Amino acid sequence: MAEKNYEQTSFFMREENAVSENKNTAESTASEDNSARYAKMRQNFYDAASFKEPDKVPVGTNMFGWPFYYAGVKLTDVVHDPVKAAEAYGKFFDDFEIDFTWLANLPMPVDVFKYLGTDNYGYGEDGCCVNHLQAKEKYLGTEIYDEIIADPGKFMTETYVKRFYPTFQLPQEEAYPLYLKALDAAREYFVTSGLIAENIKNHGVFSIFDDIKLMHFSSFNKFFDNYRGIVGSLTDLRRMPKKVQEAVDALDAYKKSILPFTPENIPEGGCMGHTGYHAEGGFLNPKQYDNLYFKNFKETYLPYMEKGVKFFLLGEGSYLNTVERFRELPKGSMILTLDKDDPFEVHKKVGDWCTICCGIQTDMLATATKQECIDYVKKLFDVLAPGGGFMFVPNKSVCSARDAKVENMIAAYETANELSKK
Amino acid sequence: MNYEELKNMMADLDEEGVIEAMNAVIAANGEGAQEAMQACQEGMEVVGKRFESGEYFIGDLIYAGEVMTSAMDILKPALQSGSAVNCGKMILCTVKDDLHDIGKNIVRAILEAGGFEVIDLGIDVAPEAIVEAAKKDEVKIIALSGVLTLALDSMKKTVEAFKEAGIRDDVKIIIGGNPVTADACTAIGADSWTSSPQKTLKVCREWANA
Repeated sequence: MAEKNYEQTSFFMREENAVSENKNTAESTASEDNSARYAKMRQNFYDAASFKEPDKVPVGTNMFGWPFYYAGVKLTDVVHDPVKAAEAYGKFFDDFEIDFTWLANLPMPVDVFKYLGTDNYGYGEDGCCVNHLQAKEKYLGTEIYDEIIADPGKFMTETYVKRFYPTFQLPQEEAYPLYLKALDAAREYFVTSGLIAENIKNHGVFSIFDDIKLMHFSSFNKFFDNYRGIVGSLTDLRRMPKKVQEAVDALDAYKKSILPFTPENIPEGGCMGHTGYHAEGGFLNPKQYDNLYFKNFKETYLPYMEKGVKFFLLGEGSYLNTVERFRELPKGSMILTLDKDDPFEVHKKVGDWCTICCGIQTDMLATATKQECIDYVKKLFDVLAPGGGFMFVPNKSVCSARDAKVENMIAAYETANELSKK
Repeated sequence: MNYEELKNMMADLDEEGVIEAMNAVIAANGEGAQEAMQACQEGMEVVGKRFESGEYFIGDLIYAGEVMTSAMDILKPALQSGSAVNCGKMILCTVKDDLHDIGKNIVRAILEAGGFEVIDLGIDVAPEAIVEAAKKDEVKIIALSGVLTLALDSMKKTVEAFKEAGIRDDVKIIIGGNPVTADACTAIGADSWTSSPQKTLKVCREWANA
């Protein structure tokens, strides 16, 4: 074990003790063949998700803005310099032993939204966190249900985009320069995100999006998040449930029709799917969940799962009340991240059927003592790790500077890495 | 009018039935307006309890808030005083750097239905503005909402602003929202924390009645 230098140059909380006290528990990835490490970490990921005890329980991360804070820079200062941004983001991966990551990109292309005429996303006061400014969003009216039922593809690709982003409503001569700026901003975002992803891969870290080829974001969530908003969509569910269901089914059928491949043509080497919970995390009752999410999810993707495709579910909120639905899918098909639910309760319900991908609560990372973090991680490994079906990752994306004390983050990851090895 | 039936309609989220009952009160020149208001408030209490017990979900709470707001909008002209049960004034807002309002609005509906006159300062509200509003209206109960983890910082700053203004001991502060936990409450120095509108109402009522 080489000594590790957790360089601490943060601009808000200089936790210098954390730096000096912590020793390296990670083997230097620089001396390893990172391609081989990548392959090994990928294999460990699939072994854990297949209820085989992996050589090492996968220890992962889901960072948004925190790596910039850790590197001692503000995202806002480097966001227009792809090389500097990627270097700063990579510092976390220099110093922490990470096996897999959910995210390998900048948080959001804030400037693209800006040039398209919305201010739905903005930087937080810490200069690292990107905020979704939900209360500022203006949503569409209930007339969209009929439009969607009539032509879901046209609505998704044309109608919505033109109505939601004000720039598309401007006269051509005014809109055109803004399109160019938005394209430039998008290019910069993707270049930076590409460099971040490359840097992470060079650390031998398996990025799950390298394998994800199927994406399922439930159609009701499009109403909930984008088309009608939270209040609008949920009141529509009461006032016009049949119409909402018809529109959701129309969108799901359209999305199924444009999937990149059939279950008979899964890419060589396999792939994963990705799905997310927003409304499903406590906003919907179980019947609504079944009708608006699970029914179509199962119908569309069960044939893929029967061919071995695993789905990574990134959830927000609480969904203990519906996790047992996944018993209707093949064992090992679902990898469930947890947000508010107690991992031990979820483990009791479906720990023998679904992989649980969870770890320390971010509020513990921010407010608990180092020892409390260590104790909690130990308890997780004691209960969840035996027999596979467990991966370690913080329960929420670590977005802003104050989301985690550096010394707690170090303690949690060191403990996880120590316990993860056979 | 059968007020027990009205209470049940509100509890069961029967929007058509509730609105019809409110229109009937107005058609009768406002006769029974206070009783109708009280029935709606009691129905909202049932909604809160059903949420606590897991029978209702967040979507039901949001819808209940919409129904209650519509009902009160109809009834307002017939009500001489704001509420059948009067718990007094309190301040509610989403703290600085956080622009979410769904949770805050659900809580406002439950608090108003529960008899509070809620001074809703909106979203992204600076600590100084909250202190100023509390001083101006002599409000003793402050409810701070937030969804982002950044909100925890703003909540702490708000508590500190009350200390700096020398009125921290004159007010009770409750914090709530996605990132709020018991540990966060301790670190922030608030008097209580909540993860449900019903608990918010219960705690604020206890404070109002103390």
